[in-house]
Amino acid sequence: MTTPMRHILTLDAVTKRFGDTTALHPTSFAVEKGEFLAMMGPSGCGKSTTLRMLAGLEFPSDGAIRLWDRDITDLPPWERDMPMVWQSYALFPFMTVAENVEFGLKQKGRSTAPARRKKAAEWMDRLGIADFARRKVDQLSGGQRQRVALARALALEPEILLLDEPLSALDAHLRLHMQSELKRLHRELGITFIYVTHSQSEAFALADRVAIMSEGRVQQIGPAKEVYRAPANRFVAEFVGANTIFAGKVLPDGGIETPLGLFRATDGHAPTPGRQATFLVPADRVTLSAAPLGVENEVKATLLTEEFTGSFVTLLLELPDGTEMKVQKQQSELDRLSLDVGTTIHASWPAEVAYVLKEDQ
Amino acid sequence: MATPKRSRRLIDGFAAFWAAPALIWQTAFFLAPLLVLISMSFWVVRNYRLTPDFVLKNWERMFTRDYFWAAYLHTFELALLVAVLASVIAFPASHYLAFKASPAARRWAMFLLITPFFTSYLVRAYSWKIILSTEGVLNVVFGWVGLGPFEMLNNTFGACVGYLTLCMPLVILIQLFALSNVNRDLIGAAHNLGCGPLKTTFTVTIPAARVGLILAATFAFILSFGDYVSPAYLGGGKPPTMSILIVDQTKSGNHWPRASVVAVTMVVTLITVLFTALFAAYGKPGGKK
Repeated sequence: MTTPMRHILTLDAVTKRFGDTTALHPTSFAVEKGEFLAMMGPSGCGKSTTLRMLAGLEFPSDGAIRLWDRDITDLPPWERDMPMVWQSYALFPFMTVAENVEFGLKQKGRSTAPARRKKAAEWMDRLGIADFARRKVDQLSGGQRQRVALARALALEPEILLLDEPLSALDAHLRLHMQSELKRLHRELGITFIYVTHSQSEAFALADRVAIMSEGRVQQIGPAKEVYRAPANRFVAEFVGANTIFAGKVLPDGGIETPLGLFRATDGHAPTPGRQATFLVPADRVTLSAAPLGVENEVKATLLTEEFTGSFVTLLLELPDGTEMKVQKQQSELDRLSLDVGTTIHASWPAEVAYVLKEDQ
Repeated sequence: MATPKRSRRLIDGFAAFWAAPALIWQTAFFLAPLLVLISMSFWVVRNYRLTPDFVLKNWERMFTRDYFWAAYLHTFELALLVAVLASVIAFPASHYLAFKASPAARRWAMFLLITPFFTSYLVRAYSWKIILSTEGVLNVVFGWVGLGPFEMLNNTFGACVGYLTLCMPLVILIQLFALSNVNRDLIGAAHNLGCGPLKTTFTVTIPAARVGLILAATFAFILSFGDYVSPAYLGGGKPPTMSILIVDQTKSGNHWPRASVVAVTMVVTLITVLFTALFAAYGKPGGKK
């Protein structure tokens, strides 16, 4: 066990039930000071509920939340110092930008009015909204509102900043821009960010660690690369990354017999002979060829669709048993294959990139 | 794709067609009588007979009498008092229903708030007499604990009870709708930024629901400013309100022109109050914020 003082925030078997439904099964994890943690998952996975419990806007049905070594499980929200940036921004429409930014400082009553104004001005300056200080919120664009929401939360100079899908209401271009701005703020301020999102690209681009959630449980928590390369279970494997998943029976020599043939997978967990094993093939590690190469781990496939996204092309192939396989390639690599929808090609991958998932219990 | 000009005109025509009945109704039964009322205020009464004319003496007569201004001020003060009282008394109930009550309880409450409109307001006002009179239910109960009897009829208190009977359900309903439309995230954000529940109500919830709250108070003002039943039957008619003044003018001497002067003054007052309220609510009359 590590010393409890290292963790700024600890969730200990935190559970949330709404009537008969369990929004969050007993969940335990800890957040380190200065960390950027992203909670990611499909809607209804419990990520927002978890964040709201941290803010005190919901209370756990069971379990405990600790800030450093202080139990804050039942502390009302107005006594916590965890300002939140809302998906809807939740700016007060009847106040000016400056009044919004000052709001928290005023409520906490920590400083005099002139000191408050000075501090609010500093944050508005820092976030590039000083010019709008006297405007009403409804006269601002989405991006400007986002900055006001950030300034309002950061003006309190908290140890922990909570962010609930803060970028989802912005258009794609602005989202990328704000993403880098958030990253810069996190680096400069050195405070802890807890960030809820359903966007994998956001989570992976921003976070030190990612918690993948589904059906009220944390499925995996770890650095983005680890979650991506070594998913803890089938859900994570399907949810993150562009993987193709195969399952079959493990032969005595370690080969895996699937409806598509015999494969070898040497990354991840060692398959147990005689048992079922599931392994995944990352989309960016697949080799395509017009004629069979005659290597191990090779399948025949038909091209279903081709999606061009800038420098990368994502191909969707159909394997003989109906499985869909995702493959990512550089455009330049594809030129020599002259592919059309319906073309038959051969896909292969080395055994050491095929990752065997932990056996289901 | 842009709609072609001709079919757009067709759509506009269709909308206008269906809008017409309501607009015609308002014109026929509000605007036209109002114009008749205004013109009648310049007529004269000869030998108890109404005679069309164009003289200013009705206006002079009313506007130079102290009792007219006393009644005007009294009515205005009463309506203002009721608007404030109704708003303040209704708010905790509306707030509870909007934020604390379960959806089922809220639906029941809305149903119960609408049922008073099933029965005549006159009957409801009259039934207060049984409760409020010197030998009434309330005074009997007070008598048991050695209090009273209290004079609760034929005074401002009695009138206010009647006014509140008239407007309270509507005030609660309008406030309830206003509060239900407040973005819950704003309240969460206030709590999140260190603002306790009571303070949040005043610094965030009320400003966010401002338009509806002002509208509710305005309705209370308008309903009680023009009401005749409460001041006459529960308030005792002394000092008279504007509505009682109208009845007095028509009963004694059949003086419809003077009654018209009172009525026109009331209409102008209400329009002024309504525009002031809308201005306060939206920032400019009839406009959006």
